[in-house]
Amino acid sequence: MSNSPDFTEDQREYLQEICNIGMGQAGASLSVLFEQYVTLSVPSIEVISAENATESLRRLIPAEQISAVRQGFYTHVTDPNFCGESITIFSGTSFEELAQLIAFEEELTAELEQELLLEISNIINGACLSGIAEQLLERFFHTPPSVIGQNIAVEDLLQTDQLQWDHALSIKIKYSVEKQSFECDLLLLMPDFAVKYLQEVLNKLLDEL
Amino acid sequence: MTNKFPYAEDVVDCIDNGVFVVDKNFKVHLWNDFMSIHSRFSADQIIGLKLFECFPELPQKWFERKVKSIYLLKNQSYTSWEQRPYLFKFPHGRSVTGGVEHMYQNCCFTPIFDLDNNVECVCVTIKNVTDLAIKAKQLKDAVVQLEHISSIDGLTQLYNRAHWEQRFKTEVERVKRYKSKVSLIMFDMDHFKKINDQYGHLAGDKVLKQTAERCLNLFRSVDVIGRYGGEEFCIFLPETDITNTGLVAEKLRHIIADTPVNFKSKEIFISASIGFTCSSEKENNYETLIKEADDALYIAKNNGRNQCINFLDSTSDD
Repeated sequence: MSNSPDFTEDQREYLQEICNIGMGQAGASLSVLFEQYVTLSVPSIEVISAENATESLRRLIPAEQISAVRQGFYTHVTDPNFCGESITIFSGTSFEELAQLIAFEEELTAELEQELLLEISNIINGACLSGIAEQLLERFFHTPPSVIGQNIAVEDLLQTDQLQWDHALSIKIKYSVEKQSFECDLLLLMPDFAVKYLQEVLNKLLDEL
Repeated sequence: MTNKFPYAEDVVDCIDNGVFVVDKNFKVHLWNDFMSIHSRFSADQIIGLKLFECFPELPQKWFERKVKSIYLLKNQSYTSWEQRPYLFKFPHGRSVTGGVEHMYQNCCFTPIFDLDNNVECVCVTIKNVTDLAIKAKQLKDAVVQLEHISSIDGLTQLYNRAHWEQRFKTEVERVKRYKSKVSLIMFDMDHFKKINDQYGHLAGDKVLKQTAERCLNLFRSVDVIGRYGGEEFCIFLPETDITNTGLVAEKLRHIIADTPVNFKSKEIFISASIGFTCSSEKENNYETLIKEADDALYIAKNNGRNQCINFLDSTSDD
């Protein structure tokens, strides 16, 4: 068992600052792309433990039924490196609205509904992460998105017996689009070994202030 | 300037994935050998031309939207064969073994930046995942088949007991939740052992098959029929009261007893003893309901067979 990664107050504040700026940029470019005003909540940052992962997720995502897409992100593979996975969570989303969002005109089949989830997740996630990466002076690479499940329970997001970390940093951002009921949550999750690298980067940036 | 490997451009042609580059007007700037081999255009022919003029079948609007988001967000974008089987309808390279109509593709769209970090053009890579797609489809088919095998009784093609019980359990839960009703009929073929002894097991099998067929003709598609075991059958009828169930049970008795089963040009006369019951407004439990119908069936047997007994009547008589 590793200890929960402790952030100093400076580190935490700076991380929050970086996320806020990153989300501002992401919101701006998403608004241009979707041609609608996109609002992003202030990112809420916390450390969750593998032991209580299910409880934490249930608290973070109160919806009963969700559809979720995962995508990996990482910097160059050095040791330690920065990596994590983002999970985009849709609850009570109408596919017609999602289709409108990106002017998707084909008739919706089950496959195309999945493609919509993947496409919108990739866009939202990409916008967010590039916002954060720019602030950290890092470059993130991504894996292709994949569907975790449609109409599943929050408990099914993580297979808690297969986790290879003890603690993870969680950054939650809520998205909403003006004039639409569309809402989704983005969870950026980083395992403890990646958090160490993040703290190093934060320290370096703090020193340069 | 770093010392550039002089054959770097040839390497792009060595990659066994499709690689091509378009700008925001969809003019082609690079087209590797994989693309030449699989399409009708060589690099010499297509470079400088607009992609949609060469491939009018491409989903243009979709493609434009994809590229627009890449220019704007400076971010990679993807497609997977599971949702969009292919970008270009290329041949699959399984000319002999076959099984598919085209190459399945995973695609990745990556921005290429100029010196000012603006997106200059978009590089598209196409991965041939046909074999993976075939394996995944086979697996999916196998699961569907297994689900069928594990829920169906081989002889009668009705649901087997385990699956039927599961369905009935779910139905009773639904009845509890929505305060609706469900009726249950259970019946047993009369003198089945005698039929087996007299005409042989193949005759017995035919009787069971015929009975199953007659049930399938009689009941509605919402009613769920199962082979409970041996020569015993069970049917639950959602949203059906006891009066209507009694009428159906009597019809069932007739379609079984009125027509003999033909076996090797012999006529085998058959009949069934039938018990039925209905959920109550107060308390419902699927095991209790099964026991009720079974008890009624037992009374029908004892009263001389070939008859229907309503469990709710049988108890008020006591």
